[in-house]
Amino acid sequence: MLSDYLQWADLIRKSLSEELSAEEQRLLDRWLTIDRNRKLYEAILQERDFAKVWEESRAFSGYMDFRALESRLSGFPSSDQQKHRLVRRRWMMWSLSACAVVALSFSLFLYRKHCVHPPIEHQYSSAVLILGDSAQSVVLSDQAQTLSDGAEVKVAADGRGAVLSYARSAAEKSDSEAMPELNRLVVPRGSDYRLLLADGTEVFLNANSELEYPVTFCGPTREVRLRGMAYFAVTRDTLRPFVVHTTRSQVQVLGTEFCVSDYPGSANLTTLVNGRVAVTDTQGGEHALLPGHQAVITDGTCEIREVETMFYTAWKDGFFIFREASLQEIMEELSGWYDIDYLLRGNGLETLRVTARLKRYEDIDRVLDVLSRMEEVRFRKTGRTITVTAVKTP
Amino acid sequence: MEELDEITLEETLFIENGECFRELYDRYFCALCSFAMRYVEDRQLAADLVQDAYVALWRLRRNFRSEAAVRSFLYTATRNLALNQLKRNRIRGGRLNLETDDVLEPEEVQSVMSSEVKRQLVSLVEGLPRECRRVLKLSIEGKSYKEIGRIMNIAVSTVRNHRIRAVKLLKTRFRQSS
Repeated sequence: MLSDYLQWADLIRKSLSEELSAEEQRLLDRWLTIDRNRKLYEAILQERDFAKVWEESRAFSGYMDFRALESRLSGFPSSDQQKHRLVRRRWMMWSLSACAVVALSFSLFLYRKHCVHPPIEHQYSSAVLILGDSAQSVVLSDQAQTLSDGAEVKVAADGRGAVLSYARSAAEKSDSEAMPELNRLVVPRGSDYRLLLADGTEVFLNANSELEYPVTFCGPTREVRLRGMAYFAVTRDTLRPFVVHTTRSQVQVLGTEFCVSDYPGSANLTTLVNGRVAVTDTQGGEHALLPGHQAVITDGTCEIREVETMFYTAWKDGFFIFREASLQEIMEELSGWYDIDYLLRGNGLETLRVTARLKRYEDIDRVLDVLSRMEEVRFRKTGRTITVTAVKTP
Repeated sequence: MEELDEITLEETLFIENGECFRELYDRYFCALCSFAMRYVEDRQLAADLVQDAYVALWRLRRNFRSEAAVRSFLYTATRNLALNQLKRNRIRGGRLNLETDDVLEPEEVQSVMSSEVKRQLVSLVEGLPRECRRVLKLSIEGKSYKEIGRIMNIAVSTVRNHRIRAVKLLKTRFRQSS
């Protein structure tokens, strides 16, 4: 919606500076045939007195305080490096939109070459809550906060970071007339978040994940939608099954603990810790899991295997556990948790297998320190990219 | 710049470095503030809200693939933060009135659009040679070449030349950004 208006604003600006192409002119003309739009257009034209526009824009430049902002940005390349900062060139910005990819990757390259590196840290309990189907969003941190709406939602901080919790819905009506409001919790890379749903179900969201759920559960089932990875401890309710939807599966449970992971490019995994769940793949095949079972969905086909569940759920308890893991797997895991990119360089890395149990330290350095004890590899940090190089052994 | 055009990297993250974030700050800050003034009366408060919007942008930076997406995020976030602020004030004032309105009011639409139009006009005119800039400003304000000639005390043909040059300069500059 708002983005549409911004696009019309682009066209209006272009019409003022006579830069409209014939096609754009047609679009704008058609848009202006609607009375409401024409009024809007005229109102905007009224305000184009340049002296005033100028003055208005100037008025706020005094409030620009990038340093103050910078101090609030975690992981921002710090201002100690300002002396190393490249001279900002206009072309960089002009090329930003269209050639963004090219120009930025290049400037990034230059930039990284010049600066001292800020620490790479996992940011505990940081996420964005999107209310309803609107664009209304609230930024959540690890600080306790009360969200204004209805006071049914609150963030409470405990020793392990914050929990976003919804008031237990007293009315367990099963009338499906009223569609409850849906909320969406978005956890970026490099962070995680904990959530207590209205039925008491506890959800741990891993980095780079998203969960959509109703603020109260009504109707015959409790349904949520997941992108990424989450650990669920579902409150038992035999009358109302709990259903987790992902792009490639549907997991139905009554009350149990399990972990679901659905990242593009990786297999869809459902790992059952205890209780019972039924996994349905996109082709409608239904598979019942027992504790210790894992459903693996790749290309629509589902396979059941037995696993040590600990390896798949250690993240929610604050550990990395690797057994006979390749460096690729390890780096992949670090990449989401710390919001980093990685490169593997040199021969022999593929065959290396690592078994380790590490705390999910806030700072990646401590993890890399431990991994560096392996003689075969060396880690190098460049900005937010970690390069893993094979060391030649005689 | 040209020699870089051949490199193509898919899926490169958009706001990858501080430099770029800083530029986005410089570009939109004032426009967002003037938009925020639609909701709050106080300049400092408006500026604070916009700072908050940028903090949110930084947290979510990996989710954006284009400046257009960043731009609508910034306007939306500013609006939401301002509305939240208003709500808080109302609660404090004892008048609890929580209409969560997802639909933009006509005045809000106008405010978004005019903030953005003005922002672009300012950045457009900046950096042009002085005469071009003056001609362009006057012509954007709706003056004819004749009037501009009279105001600037130059021949109409000169006005036209400046105008053509201005548009040409703008075109090379904005070619890629739309």
